[in-house]
Amino acid sequence: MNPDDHVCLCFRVSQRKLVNFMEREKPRVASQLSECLGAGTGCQWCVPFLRRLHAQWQRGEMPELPVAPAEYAARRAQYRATGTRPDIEVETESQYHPEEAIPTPMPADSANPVRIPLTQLRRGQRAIVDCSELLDLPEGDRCLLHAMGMHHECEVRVCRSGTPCIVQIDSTRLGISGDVAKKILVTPIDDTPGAKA
Amino acid sequence: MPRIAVLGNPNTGKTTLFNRLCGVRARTANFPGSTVEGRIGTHRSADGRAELELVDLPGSYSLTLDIPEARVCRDCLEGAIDGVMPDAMLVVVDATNLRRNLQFAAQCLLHRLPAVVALNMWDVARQRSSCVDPAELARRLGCPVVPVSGRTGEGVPAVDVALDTLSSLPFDSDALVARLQKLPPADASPAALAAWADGVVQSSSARAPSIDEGREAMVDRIDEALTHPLLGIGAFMVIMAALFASIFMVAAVPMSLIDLLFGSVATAVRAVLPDGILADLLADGVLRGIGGVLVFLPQICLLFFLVSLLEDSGYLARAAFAVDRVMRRFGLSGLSFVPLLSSHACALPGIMSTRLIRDDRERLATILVAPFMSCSARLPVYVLLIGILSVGKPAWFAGAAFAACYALGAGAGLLTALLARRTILRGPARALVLELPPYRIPSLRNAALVTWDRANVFLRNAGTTILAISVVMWWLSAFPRTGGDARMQQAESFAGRIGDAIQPVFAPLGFDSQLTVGVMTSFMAREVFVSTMGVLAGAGHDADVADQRVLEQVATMTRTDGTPVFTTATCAAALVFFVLAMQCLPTLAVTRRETGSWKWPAIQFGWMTFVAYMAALAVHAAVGMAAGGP
Repeated sequence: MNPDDHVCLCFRVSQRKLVNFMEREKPRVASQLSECLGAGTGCQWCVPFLRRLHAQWQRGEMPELPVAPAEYAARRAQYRATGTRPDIEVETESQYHPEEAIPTPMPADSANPVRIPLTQLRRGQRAIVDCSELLDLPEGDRCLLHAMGMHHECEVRVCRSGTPCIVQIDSTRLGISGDVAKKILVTPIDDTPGAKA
Repeated sequence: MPRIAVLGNPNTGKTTLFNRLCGVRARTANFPGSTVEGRIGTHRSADGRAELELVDLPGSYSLTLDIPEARVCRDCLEGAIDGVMPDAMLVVVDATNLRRNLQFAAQCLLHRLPAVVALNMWDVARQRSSCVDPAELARRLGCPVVPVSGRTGEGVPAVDVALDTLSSLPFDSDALVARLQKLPPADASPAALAAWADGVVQSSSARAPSIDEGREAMVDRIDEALTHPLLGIGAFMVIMAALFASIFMVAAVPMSLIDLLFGSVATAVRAVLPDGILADLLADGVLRGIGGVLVFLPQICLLFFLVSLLEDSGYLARAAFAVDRVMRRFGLSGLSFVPLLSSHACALPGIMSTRLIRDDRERLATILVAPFMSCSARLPVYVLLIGILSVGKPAWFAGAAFAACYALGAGAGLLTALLARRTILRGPARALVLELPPYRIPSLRNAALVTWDRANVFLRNAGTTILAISVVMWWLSAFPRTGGDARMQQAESFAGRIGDAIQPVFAPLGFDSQLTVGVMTSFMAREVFVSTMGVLAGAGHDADVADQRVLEQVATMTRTDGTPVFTTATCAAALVFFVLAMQCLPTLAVTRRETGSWKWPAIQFGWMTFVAYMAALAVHAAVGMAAGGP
């Protein structure tokens, strides 16, 4: 990969920007790379690669990723379509602190890899919101949803499915018009009352 | 007087607590350079020693969002409102929803001001057996935390004491630094802020509040019904119809009392004062003019009272979603619903609240059509004209006519929006995201305070602008003195001559010169129509009917040839004209300010006047034909 190729394709963050960021900010842990233009907070495909870049930088090496941009993008597309990460060798370093890291998506063999639009849930069903997929929304709507309590990985209960969609987070009910709700991807929690497979 | 900023998320009971603290000693405040309203009140501590000025800022979900509410909160905390830096802040958090509320509280507490956190809705939190420990919360936030319930008043004295202590103590920068260290940094990401709030909630509460599954399921079902495409719209229409019907019926009694009062005071004035210009001025100009407008105070109060109850009950947010589907067809969204609904009170706050609409074209379309909504200034005109129209008709007629006026205005507005969105303001409608507050029994106290506030504004207006216009109108109709009888005086007066000059324009609508004068003067403010007609009617009547009530006098006004001014056709045409016409100077000024160009007020004025004139013409012709003659 060349310095100007994008590592985080969601936010179009190039390798050069990430390296410059590390030189300037001296991030202690890899997760701090998310502060560089939001790298890694989108589909999270690039998270292992960010870790690798960070590890290389910490060791004083010149960070680089030995993968062709076209193949990188193709694998990401596959990952986004299936939720499964194609088998790539990923370095994990001792400096990596899992508890501070950006949450990674569930592994391929987990029970609930499937993410579906919020509008497809039934009334009473519970689900975990994946805010990384809110990227299609305008900035204003996204910030408002965050401020209203819809965070990444928060649990919602569907009070009314369809349009408008009404969800409950803690004790707050949010009404979300269908256009927005169908762009919010969630992972249903199976064992909730009202959710029949 | 020390100033205290009151901050909080929306729906945290912030205003209820504010009302507890300030009561009637508060007024609505427009913040300079902004469109959202807040309230400023004074609070006297329990022992009556200290007075505090409380600023009730609009509820906001975050201090960093780029929306008007957040901007006002930021401005206030940075001392940009009136150039006064607040001396302290009162952060209201909802004890039943700590996780989200704490994130906003943290953003507030990062400002270098002494603070008290009010843990509101404490009574509800206790019912749900959530064991939040205020002492632990205070330790984690680095400022005093007071459990309180704005609804029941429990804990309010403690807030009182905390505020009092805060404002009397010298600024303690050490405590402040200690507090800042406990909070997440100012540039924390939303996720980091949420994680911090989670940590605080976990350490300060023994268990999560229990959620009553049965109750939630019931609320689900109600929500489902109220936002349902058919049921929801049906419920909305029924509720609105009931609202207007009750305004019309309940207000009838106090209205006739006020009318009677002004009538008898005018008679008394005439009896006491010697005949002459002074008696005429007081009885015909001042009392008749003001009385004619004050008569509508009960209706305006009722409207605000009932809308406030509806808002408090949690219904309005559901209605926005029910209506969203319909609005979408017209190129608007549920976000335009709130501005358009408040335009039913007055187009000014309505137009100003369009800043919440995130799409520029949709916002312009909403501004364009907001004055079509029947504002409370039209209410007096409706009552007068419908009152005349419904003489000898069954009881339901007035209510139906009233509803029809509102429907006509709203319909014309929506069609105009559709037209605009298809031509000059093309674009798709934006999506709606709104919090649906819990259903509650609305607080009568809050509604009464809102009504009190609005009534004050209305009275102030009646005491200044309308009084001035009434006196001018009286002068125009009383001079030059002809010395002849009342009818001749009226025809020869300045008002009569002005009316005659312009009357040909309105002749096709069946307006005579007096009605023309009424329409012209009402361009300043619509309700002036009623006072103008009152003054003109007084001048036109002979002295022996001077003790008649104002409204009756207007209803029985006669033209210079002795035929009644208000035939059925003329009255209906005038009513339609008033529903649709753009007759409000302040609205045009606000449209100019909000859109930044004269283009939009010009389009607004031209289009509305055109529509109103054509519709009135059609109605005049149709009713005239149905009645079998002009």
